[in-house]
Amino acid sequence: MTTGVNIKYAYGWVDLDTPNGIPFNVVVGIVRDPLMLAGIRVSNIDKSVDFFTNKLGMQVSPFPLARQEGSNFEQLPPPGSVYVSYRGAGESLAKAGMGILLIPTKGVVNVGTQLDAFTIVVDDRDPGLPTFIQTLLKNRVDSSSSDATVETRSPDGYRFVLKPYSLFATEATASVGTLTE
Amino acid sequence: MDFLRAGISLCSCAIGCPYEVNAIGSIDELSRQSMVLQDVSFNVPGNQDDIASLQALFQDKLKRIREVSTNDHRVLSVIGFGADAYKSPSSFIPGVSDFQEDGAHCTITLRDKVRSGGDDEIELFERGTGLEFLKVGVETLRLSKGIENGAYALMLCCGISMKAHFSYPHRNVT
Repeated sequence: MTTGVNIKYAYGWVDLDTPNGIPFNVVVGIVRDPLMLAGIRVSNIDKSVDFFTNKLGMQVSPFPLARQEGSNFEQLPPPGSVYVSYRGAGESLAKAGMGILLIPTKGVVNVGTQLDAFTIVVDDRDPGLPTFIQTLLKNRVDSSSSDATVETRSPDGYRFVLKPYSLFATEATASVGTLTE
Repeated sequence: MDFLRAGISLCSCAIGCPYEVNAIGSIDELSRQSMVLQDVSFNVPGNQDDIASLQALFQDKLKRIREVSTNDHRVLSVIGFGADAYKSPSSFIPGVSDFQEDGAHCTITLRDKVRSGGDDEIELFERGTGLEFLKVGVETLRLSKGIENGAYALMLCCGISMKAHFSYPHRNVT
């Protein structure tokens, strides 16, 4: 691109940045949810896996693919990386929503200020929530409102906002019918 | 009074049974689990270019869901994939139905700095070294349209047909 070539056609995967520098890895394939995962670098993979599984309640899962396994047209995860996602008990990977790929890296990770937060919708009436989540919800600052969000940070400083289902439902319902091209 | 009690009882039932009574209660993930990763948000100095490039890239599969102003003078633009990012069509049958019927359940929020009333202050945000990428799987991709609208292609893998600036076409297959 910088040397003046004009791309006419491409297939396989594409790494690209939006005008403001948000990085995307795009694969031509078939998946249930087009937004498949966020790949984030972590300085300590063990601590991160512990945070995402034991505290946020995610599960270590197989890396999701948009194409058939073994295809040369889809990038495999870096060695040592771990994929975590929310998945109902006994549910197949195809039914899981977006997840997070933890990519180990050496040194300190600078989360930056461009990436604001990951939002997790939580059914806060479920008694089976992880203890960490229950404690966060119980101790939220704005305890006068059951709709108040609460947030936490991963060991590397990634911000996670926990949003009660009732608040999410209110916001999402308000937007129904306002979809535009 | 009985009518009032009945109303309170109905409200209590509605609060206690969110999946049955809510208009968006057919979210497949939420019907079987109590937590779901639902959104990734970014701070950007002007989000319209990003939205334009992504819409050009993914064509009609990427939708602008809503835009709201916040108390801290930002405009939040929420974008997502599919006809309706919050609901799967009841007719959708995995393995049988067209996958393009089904929208994604995770959205992207772009938080823009408001520039109004002659205030051209633009806040800059540090990209950092944390986020490697957001992976997207789509059946069709209009790369040339995305680039026309400002996206920067960093790597193209496997089969790429390209034309150099001196108009000599060649094919690069890895």
